[in-house]
Amino acid sequence: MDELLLSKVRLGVIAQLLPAEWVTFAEFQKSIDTTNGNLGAHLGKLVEAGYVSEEKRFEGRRPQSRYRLTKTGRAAFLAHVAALQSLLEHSR
Amino acid sequence: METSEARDHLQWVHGILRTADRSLHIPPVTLITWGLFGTIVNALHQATASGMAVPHDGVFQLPLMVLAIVVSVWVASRGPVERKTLVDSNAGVVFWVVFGVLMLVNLTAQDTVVPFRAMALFWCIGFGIGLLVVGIQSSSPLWIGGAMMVAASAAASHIPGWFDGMLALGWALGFVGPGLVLALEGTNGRTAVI
Repeated sequence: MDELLLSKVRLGVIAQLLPAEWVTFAEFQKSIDTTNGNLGAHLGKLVEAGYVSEEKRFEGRRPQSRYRLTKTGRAAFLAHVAALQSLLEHSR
Repeated sequence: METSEARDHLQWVHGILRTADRSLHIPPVTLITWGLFGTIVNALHQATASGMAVPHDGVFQLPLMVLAIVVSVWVASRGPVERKTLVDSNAGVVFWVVFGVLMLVNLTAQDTVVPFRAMALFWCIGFGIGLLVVGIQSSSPLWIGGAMMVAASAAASHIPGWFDGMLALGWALGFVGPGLVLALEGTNGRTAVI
């Protein structure tokens, strides 16, 4: 199992990014029930690991952070989900 | 990790993926603008073919295209977009490829290899195919519009006296129609996944 994806918040972030080209920080805030600081810290860890890439830009005068899933992140997510499924199958 | 926790994590992922936004976000104004551009250009060609006195192509075509590009960029820049789906990305690729290829043929082959009227047909059928490809993946109004554009292109050749008029109708039904439907739905271009 992937240590980084044992956190439910980080797993949720990757799952949200899976069907998207990019998602903003504000969009994650709406769907993941945690504080801004906590969410930022989790996103930082995913960026640091190369699972997610971050792009900071201005949308009008408003700063905006966009996050994209990388190939490494996608592969890690698929492997982690497969490991979770395998654990459940072996426990039966 | 305990099995109960693993089950909880898988259910969490399943819930997110099941309810994930996979829809197309296309501003209705962009569809209406490009539809009006195609409709006006072809309607003016029809007016010329019918013997009416209208300005030459070069006078109105380029300014109208520049206006359509400016409106599209302006609309895209002011929308509060928090997410770009893979369908949005795919739609962008499809429309830019259609536009790029047709513009290349237009600039290099029109009036040398490709007759003027055939080029107008290529533009209509090309964007009809684009709407079909994008619409089949993501939006009923768009694929219906694409089918209408292709049908109008096919019918145009059978009515030589109204060739350009049929293409104008195709642009109106193909782009303006779906644009109005999406605007009236009030979804700001967010279309239902089929």
